[in-house]
Amino acid sequence: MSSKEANLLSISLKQYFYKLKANTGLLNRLIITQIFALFLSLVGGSGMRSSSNGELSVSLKTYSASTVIFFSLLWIVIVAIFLTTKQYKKIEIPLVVNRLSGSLSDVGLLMTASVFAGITSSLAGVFLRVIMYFTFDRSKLVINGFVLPLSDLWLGFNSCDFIHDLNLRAGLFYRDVDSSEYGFRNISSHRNFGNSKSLSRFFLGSC
Amino acid sequence: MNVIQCEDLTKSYGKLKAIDYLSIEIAENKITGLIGRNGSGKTTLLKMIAGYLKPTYGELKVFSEKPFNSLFVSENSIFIDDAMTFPDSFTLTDILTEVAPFYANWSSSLAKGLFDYFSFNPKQPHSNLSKGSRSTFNSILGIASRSPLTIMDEPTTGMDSGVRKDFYRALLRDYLEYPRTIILSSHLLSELEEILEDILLLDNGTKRLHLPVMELKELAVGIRGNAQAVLSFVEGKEIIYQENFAKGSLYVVVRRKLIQHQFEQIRLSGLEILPVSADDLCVYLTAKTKGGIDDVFKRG
Repeated sequence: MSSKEANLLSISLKQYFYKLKANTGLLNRLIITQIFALFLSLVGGSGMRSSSNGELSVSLKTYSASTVIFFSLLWIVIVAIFLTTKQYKKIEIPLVVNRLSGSLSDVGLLMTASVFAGITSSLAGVFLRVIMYFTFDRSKLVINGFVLPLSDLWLGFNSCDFIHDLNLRAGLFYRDVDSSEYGFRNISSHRNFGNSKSLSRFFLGSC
Repeated sequence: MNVIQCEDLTKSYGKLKAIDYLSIEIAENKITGLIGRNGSGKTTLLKMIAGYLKPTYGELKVFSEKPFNSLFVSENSIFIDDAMTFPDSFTLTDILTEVAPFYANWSSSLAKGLFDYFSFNPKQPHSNLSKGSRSTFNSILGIASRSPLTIMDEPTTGMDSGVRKDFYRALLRDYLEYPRTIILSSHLLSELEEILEDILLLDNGTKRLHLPVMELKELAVGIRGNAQAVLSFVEGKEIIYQENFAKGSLYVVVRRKLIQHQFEQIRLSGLEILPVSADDLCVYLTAKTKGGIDDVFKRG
């Protein structure tokens, strides 16, 4: 008979890695989603302004990768819903698990997904710039703000993290919440999501 | 030292009581067979022991802890049944390597050895396995985990007889080397009794019997011969099973100790005394009627 004391954190960590490996397929869906969103932002742009005074007309078309962010957020929401399905819960049954460790590893998985989605969607913004740089008429590009600063990358995954936080709150209610799990609803703090639109915005001017 | 201890354990699903005031004790390092008819509460009991279900009433202690939602019990036990699900992104070899870190006593060499012996395709996903192969693969997990409490719910479902024999042998050999508490539930008691030490017979959620296999084999005898002669001996005694044959011949199963002193007389009256196999006895003990399925046809 084993007298080994159960260590919650180490077991949750093992579960986290198990689940991470088990759900690599979700990444493919993220990539497909982002490519689709990238295509939309390339074709549609996100805003058009034009003005004229009779002699001179200026039209300004804004391209932004915020669609990619939006779709990535959608992906995270779908992942979060997937984490509450019976099909997903079944895979933890053969493992050493209790509800708390299951929740903890889910939290970890969701965090990883959020960070990953955040970084890749910021990078998708860079990719959009690259595509435009090589395919558009370069003389018409407004280069200001063309290079993505590191701070924007940070903002990118913060904004996804915000939704993750919301998911966490909703998701944990899905499980039979017992008192010990309440503590984890506040595990990640609120982050500001308002500036995300400025994330990867740049201009294409035409005269 | 008792690994499992329960008192007045009850589990009800709505109005139906799957387990009804059950009190049992299972000692450490024993192989116990959990036997019972369909719907007698075997799986429910095992799932409560493994900590998947919460008892409605009563006390259940596994390793002196309540198993429901207990990480300690989960760490020291493994529950094998054919509903185990693994991610489709894992191949069979992946599963063996990924599950290993969870169980402290896991033996990779044994898992690999059994995996190769049963010639699985290492690249196959778990969901594509046939019924028998799935049971075999899950049993490999159960044996290789060397968990202090190994629970197997009908591990041999779908296995062919060759694989079943290999499985029993593998389980027994590894058990002898690394003793642990094993609970097996099965319908195939005749095959299983070779490796079992104790038998726990459940009937409608209650304990019918809990004793060593050797005692169960000796528990009852069958008497066959002329109906009147047989009845004269068993008159007033508890009859476990009764079967009518043609030409006024009768077969009756009674407890051995009730008629032990009359064995000589019975033989002299020209009746046969037959041993009753543990398997048959369990069926008789849990039968709803004394005459078995034949009763149905009599009425018609």
